[in-house]
Amino acid sequence: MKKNQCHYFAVKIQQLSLGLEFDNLTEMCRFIDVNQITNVFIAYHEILAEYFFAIYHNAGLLIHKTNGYKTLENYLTAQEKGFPDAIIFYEALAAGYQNYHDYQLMKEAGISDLITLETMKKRGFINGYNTYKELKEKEPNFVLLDTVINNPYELYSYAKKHNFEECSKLLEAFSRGFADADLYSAAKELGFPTYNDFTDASKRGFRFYSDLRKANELGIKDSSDFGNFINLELGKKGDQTHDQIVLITILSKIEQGKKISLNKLNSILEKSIEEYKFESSNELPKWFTISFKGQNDIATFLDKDNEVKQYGTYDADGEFFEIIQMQKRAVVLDASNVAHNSGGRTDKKVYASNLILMIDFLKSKGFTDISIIADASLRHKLEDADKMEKVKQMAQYLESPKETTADLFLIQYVKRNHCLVVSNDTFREWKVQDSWVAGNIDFYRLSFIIKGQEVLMPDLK
Amino acid sequence: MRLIQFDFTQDKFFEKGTAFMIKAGYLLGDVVNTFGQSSFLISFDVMSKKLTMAQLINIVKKLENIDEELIEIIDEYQTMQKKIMQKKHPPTEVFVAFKRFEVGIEKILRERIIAVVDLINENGFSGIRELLEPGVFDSLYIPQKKQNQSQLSNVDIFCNSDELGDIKNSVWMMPHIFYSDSFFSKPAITNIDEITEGSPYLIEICEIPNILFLTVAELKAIKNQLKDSFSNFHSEVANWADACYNSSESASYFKENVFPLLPTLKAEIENNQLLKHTYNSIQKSIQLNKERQVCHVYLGEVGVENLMELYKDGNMFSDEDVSSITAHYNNHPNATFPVMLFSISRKLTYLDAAYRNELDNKNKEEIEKEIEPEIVVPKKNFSID
Repeated sequence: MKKNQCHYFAVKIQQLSLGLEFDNLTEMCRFIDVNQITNVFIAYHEILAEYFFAIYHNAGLLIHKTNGYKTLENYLTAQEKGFPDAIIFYEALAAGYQNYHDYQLMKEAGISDLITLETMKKRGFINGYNTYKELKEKEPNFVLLDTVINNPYELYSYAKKHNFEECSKLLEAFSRGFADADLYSAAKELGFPTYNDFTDASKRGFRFYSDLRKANELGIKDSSDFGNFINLELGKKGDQTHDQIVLITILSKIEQGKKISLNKLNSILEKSIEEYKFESSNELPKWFTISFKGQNDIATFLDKDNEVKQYGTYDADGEFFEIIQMQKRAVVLDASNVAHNSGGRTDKKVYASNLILMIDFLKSKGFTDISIIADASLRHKLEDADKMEKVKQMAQYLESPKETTADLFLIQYVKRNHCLVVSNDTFREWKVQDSWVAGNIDFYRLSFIIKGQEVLMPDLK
Repeated sequence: MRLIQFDFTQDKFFEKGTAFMIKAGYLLGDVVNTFGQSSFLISFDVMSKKLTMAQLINIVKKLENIDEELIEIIDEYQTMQKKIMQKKHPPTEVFVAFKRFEVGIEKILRERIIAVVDLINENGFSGIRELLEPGVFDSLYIPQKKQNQSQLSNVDIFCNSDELGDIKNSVWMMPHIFYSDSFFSKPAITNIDEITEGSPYLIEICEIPNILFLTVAELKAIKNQLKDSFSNFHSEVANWADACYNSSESASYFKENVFPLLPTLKAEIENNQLLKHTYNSIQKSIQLNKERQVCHVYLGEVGVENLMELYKDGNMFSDEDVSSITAHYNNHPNATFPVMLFSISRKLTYLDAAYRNELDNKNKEEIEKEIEPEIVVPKKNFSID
């Protein structure tokens, strides 16, 4: 039947027999269609107190009860959209719902308006509900919610409350164990693939997933243990074991000119290695490699290792290690800090000549291995930028990439080489972020004063 | 609870504390507005890419560490530009030479601006712009001189004028340097049992970890997670702030309605998953740094004179402004300022009487050292003795 094909006329009937009756309204509609009938009566049977659709065809009356439908077109629409009866069909229509599924959903879930339903559809919650049920069954990391979700509307309401816009995003987060959109996006940015990983990292003190993953690969317990591992590995040269690196770190921190007995060194080493042990089990982490089996091994290492030689010399007869002057060690200049040094001036200007003065000073004190690490922006701030060429000729000059602070490279350099660093910066902000810096940087830092053409460096003897 | 951050100095002030304060305010308040220089710093990254030559010159000339040679070149450029503009048809060769000069100088200026952007970002402003959201976090411009009625002035803000609209009756965010004897003739009360009407008080409401390195997504997530559970606190603080500006019973309101909510507030902060994640990841540094990266947050009420002294000290007001403000507050004798003070690493005991007596015999340098403690420097060398 075409839309608006029929014209309807209200009539009354009093006869008991009405003529031929169709089996159902569908048959009646088919008949109308086939015979291209356009006039339909809506007949009220006063005795039966019932309405009928009636058509007059070839002098005969063909009828069927209206079943509550106002028109045959309404009946067909209701059939097409799955409505079970006319009452529900007209109720739904009045509420603005065109199909039974939507209306049923609205009734069951208590949706108060059509706009909500449309939004739910648009954002994928109607179809997404089935996917939700499937994922809940098969996804191992699927979220554990403290509320029960029984229908698409409840899923949508949950999403709205927890800041999910699209159902797909909600399902993605749920599949990974996250119940909240904001937490999911923050954790995702930190690299965490699942909620379990995130909570595991939180408990163990890892901010980023990459650190957690690496730690898991290496069997590392927590972020503190991880920090110890990374810092030791940074200082590793060749096939050194971790106890050897700890020993070298100790040597790099002992005051220049001191003589230290092998016994004493061994006891400091043992004490330092203790710091790597877990408090709970008093055991060393599995990753910690050891090569010293006794004092003899330490003596051999002190005598033979090339890196040890930059800190001093081992006297095998006297069984002591003498720390040489720090001038024999490598030194790196915090270029920005040195160049910014006001030298008593009040103008706050930045000079490359400070670097030249400092390098000259260090060389005059016997330093030969001098490097400079500078921020990329330093060259733009210099009053005497033309002197930078000379600076670059005097020492190894390294520049951090744009938008990356030189401190980061400076700290890595010191961690790796246990070298001295010339800076008046206390690295306060870095101490906050990096426990190695908090505990170690001051051992390596040489503070200074530039006064006119003179450099004062109290740590140098 | 509406919070405002209004710079209290005309100086170039890139303190990390300012960025921290704004980010912390963003988490704790439901509405935050910044005025003045912070607004400039928040948007400078984006703005810097669109600066015209005149704006570039204007900013670069005001920078610290600017070398005289560059100033001379800029002046030379401006003189040349003036001459070229005066000529209706400048000779082509002259015009081309000028343009070449202009391109060269613009390159130098833009490089200087990049260095400024880096500095601003290093000081914690990185990402703040991405948090801006109308009605939640706004960054507002204050002209040096009010040109028309629709613009806000320093005086409007300070006098809590009707021009502020929705922002009226805000709580002022303050860095710890506000709490100094330069601005407080007597210490503020820090114990809830001792607070009385008419006396400044600052009560610790919570601690938050160093949030400067958190990502924008983390900050947004924390704010959203805390939002619902903070709603009571927000509305009671808003009522209390109204009372501060308009009544003489604000201290009792604070005691009876705001203070009882603090245990819940603290618990929510302590239990927030992302803040906990942050705390745990910096735990070792916290131990090593004597809690250097924990910020103590205080809420309290201070007199108009306390805040006035601070802003006068920062040369934020002309004599005319001071007269207007004084006249305004003479007509509002009950008005006080609600403040939220952020003190990184230390509690506000340093102006308490007992502590001050102890410091009486020390020289200024020593006192300053105690008031602004440095991280304790570990021993320079291993002790082998």
